Amino acid sequence: MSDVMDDILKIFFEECDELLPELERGLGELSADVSDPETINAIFRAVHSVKGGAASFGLERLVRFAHVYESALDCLRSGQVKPDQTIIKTFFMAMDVLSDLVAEAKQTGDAVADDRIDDNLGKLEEIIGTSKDEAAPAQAEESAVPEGFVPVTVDLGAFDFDEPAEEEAATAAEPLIVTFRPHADLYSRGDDARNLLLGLKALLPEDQAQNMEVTCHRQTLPPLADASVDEGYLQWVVRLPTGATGPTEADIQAVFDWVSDVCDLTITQGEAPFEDDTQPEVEAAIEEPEPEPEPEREAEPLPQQQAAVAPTATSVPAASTKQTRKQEQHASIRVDTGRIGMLMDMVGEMVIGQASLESALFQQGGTQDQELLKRLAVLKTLTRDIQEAVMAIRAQPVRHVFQRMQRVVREASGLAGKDVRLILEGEETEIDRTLIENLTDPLTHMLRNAIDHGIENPAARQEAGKPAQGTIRLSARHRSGRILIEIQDDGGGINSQRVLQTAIKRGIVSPDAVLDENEINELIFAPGFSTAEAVSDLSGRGVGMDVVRQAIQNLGGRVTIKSRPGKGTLFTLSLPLTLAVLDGMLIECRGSVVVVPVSSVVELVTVNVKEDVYHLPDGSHVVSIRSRCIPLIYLGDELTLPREMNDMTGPNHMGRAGEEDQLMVLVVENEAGARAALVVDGVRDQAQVVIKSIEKNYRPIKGVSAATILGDGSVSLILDVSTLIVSATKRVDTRALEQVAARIA
Amino acid sequence: MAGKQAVRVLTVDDSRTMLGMLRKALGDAGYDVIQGSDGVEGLEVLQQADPAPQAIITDINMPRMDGFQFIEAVRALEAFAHIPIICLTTEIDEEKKKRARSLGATGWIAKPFNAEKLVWAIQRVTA
Repeated sequence: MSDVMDDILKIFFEECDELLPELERGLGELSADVSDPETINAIFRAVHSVKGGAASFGLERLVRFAHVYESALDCLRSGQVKPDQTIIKTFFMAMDVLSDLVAEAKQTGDAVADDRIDDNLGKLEEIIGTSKDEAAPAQAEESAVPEGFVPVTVDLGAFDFDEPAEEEAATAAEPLIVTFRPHADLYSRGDDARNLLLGLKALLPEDQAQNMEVTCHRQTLPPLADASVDEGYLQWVVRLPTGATGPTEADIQAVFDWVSDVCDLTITQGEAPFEDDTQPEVEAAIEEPEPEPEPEREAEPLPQQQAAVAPTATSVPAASTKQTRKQEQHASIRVDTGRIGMLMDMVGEMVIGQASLESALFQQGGTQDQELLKRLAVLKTLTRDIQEAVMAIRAQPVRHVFQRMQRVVREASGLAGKDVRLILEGEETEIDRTLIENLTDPLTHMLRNAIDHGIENPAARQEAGKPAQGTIRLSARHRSGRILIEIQDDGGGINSQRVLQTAIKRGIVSPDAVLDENEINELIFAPGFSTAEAVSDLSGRGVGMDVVRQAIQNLGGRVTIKSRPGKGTLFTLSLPLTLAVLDGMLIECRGSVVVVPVSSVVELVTVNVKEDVYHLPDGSHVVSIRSRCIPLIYLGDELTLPREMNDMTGPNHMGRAGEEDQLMVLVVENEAGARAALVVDGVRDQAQVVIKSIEKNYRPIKGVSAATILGDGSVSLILDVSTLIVSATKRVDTRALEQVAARIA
Repeated sequence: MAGKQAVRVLTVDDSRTMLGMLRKALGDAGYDVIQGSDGVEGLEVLQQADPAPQAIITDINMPRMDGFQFIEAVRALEAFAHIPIICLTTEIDEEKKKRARSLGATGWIAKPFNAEKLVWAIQRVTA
């Protein structure tokens, strides 16, 4: 296949990726009482387009299935069948087969089992059959699957335009006489007698072409005064030489196929039907088309009459132009994502450039030039606007991923023998494309998990006084610069005791560990943890929640769990809006500058070492801020930053005289609401920083999520606040903390 | 087509695959192809095109404005009342043909199309 064909095939698959979700959405909107024709049309069109494209590439399995599917949908479209639950289910299952067949063709999925295809084809044909029984016989024939529908493979690459198609050898030696008289409608349909004459000429081998004789008879042309501009009066007689390579009658019929209803046509062999007629008045020689493509109008139009023809169609264009304008705002273009990525990178560099400009200006002792400052502020605003605009280009609604989950739930609940309904909320929430692409797997796994382990079987549910049908709510929303995705099921919740036992059994925690409920729930994210007693086909695929968490963390996100026994479980994924930039607070610590995401900063306070900081027996520290005990993290030590002279930001340096009694702490919080206080030297600035991956360029560092380049060109680390909080919290002896808390209270 | 300005053809289809196939088939045959992704866009492109196309190939089943509506709208434009319009569609039953004809369609080709037939059809109406 040529490169062009490869490209078109790629377009076809891309298009399938758009059409299949559309199909799914349409089917989702379908119900017995609501059958909006637009929805049904969209459903039909989706399958129709998949079939059309597939046929062009000779993807026979896909075409065969899509064809029957389309026929079944056509019964729906024509109102011959009503979309009841069974039929909708059949359509959904067929959709799954269709998308698997697309994946098969794309070679991204396994081959689809023949019996699964046949099974679904059978069900679709049942729908077609039903409608056939109900419909009037004449209609039924039309909607039935045409027997032997065979896709035609068109290898455009192999098509050689210059080589004329081989004509069947004509047996007759005598010339064929074609007589035709165009009606006025032939012209109003954009056709022309000349086209037909040239069409006939094209039937002849090149060396025979000049032997075609064309005669124009105008005996039916009335006197000018009686002639109507809407009528065709001229009659053409064409004498076509036949022979071994000459045209047959069928070839000639084919030329006139489109106009058979708007012209009088006779084809005879050997003799002209007009021999009695007066001498032909015009002998027309058909030459190659002249450069001027304006088709000559045969019947009459004398210039002044031509003007009279036109007004029939003058008033309409205004209206249709108006309609066109109204739709204009939806226009869109398709852009290669690589280009947008490049744009994003450049915007990142621009942000750095802008910051460095600012930094250079202020390093020289600052400027008092108000005009300069004003322009700098404008540049800053513009930079931010551009960056947001580029982000908006990359942003896509989560709808695509969410809708794919309907299928996951359908399949998983079917396998588990559970009845589960998936409710989607906030599908319009927009999120960076890269994130979207990487969300599918974690979400799939979590939903399977929820169905497998969360939702009880129908009997148990009813016993517990719940509806037999389980519900999973998948929602997305923006919250303080991040995206929150929640998966909430109304199942049995996490059985903490069982989780703990399993964790002990697997050696994940020691038997004498004292853990609270949240910590126990966190254990399901531990590597090697799985509570499924029998490895089920659903979630027990050797992929645990640890992989899910890792995948989310790789996206700069977090997963947290809340569970209520008997009521259900809530998983919350918190993701950054983008992987490219973040608003950071530039913190000074032991002469280094580190970046803390502004979204995780709660407050900056000064605490009194003697009064507010408590040493716990285990060597850790907590600080009391407004009567709340928060683990204290000496950031310099935590990051093992080299100690400077006169440094006081380590535990061993506390309690010195003077202002060192005061510690500046930055209170940070993670998505789960856990807090920690970071001891810092100061806050330098708040700025937008460009995220540069450390993992890609170096290796993962605990407590650090990425790096950035500051305005002065220096490299700075971006803190992974959540990890810091978690590790600090773990260090703190819970019981000791409780004692301290009691003392404070 | 050598030595002459390429004949411009407007193709209207909601399937990008189909538009791609059309562009390939017609492009290989030396035609200059412009495109619209549905009737509405087709009309826009048609009216803005300079030079104007000499023929139109349109799909029938499309969102927003289908092929029938599109043909009707094109025929209502004075400048394009006589431009050849070829329907490219899988559903060519007699009833559809009749409707397309009554609205002013010049001809039709079945989908999936054969490149030779397609080029033949375009030649047939733009000769």
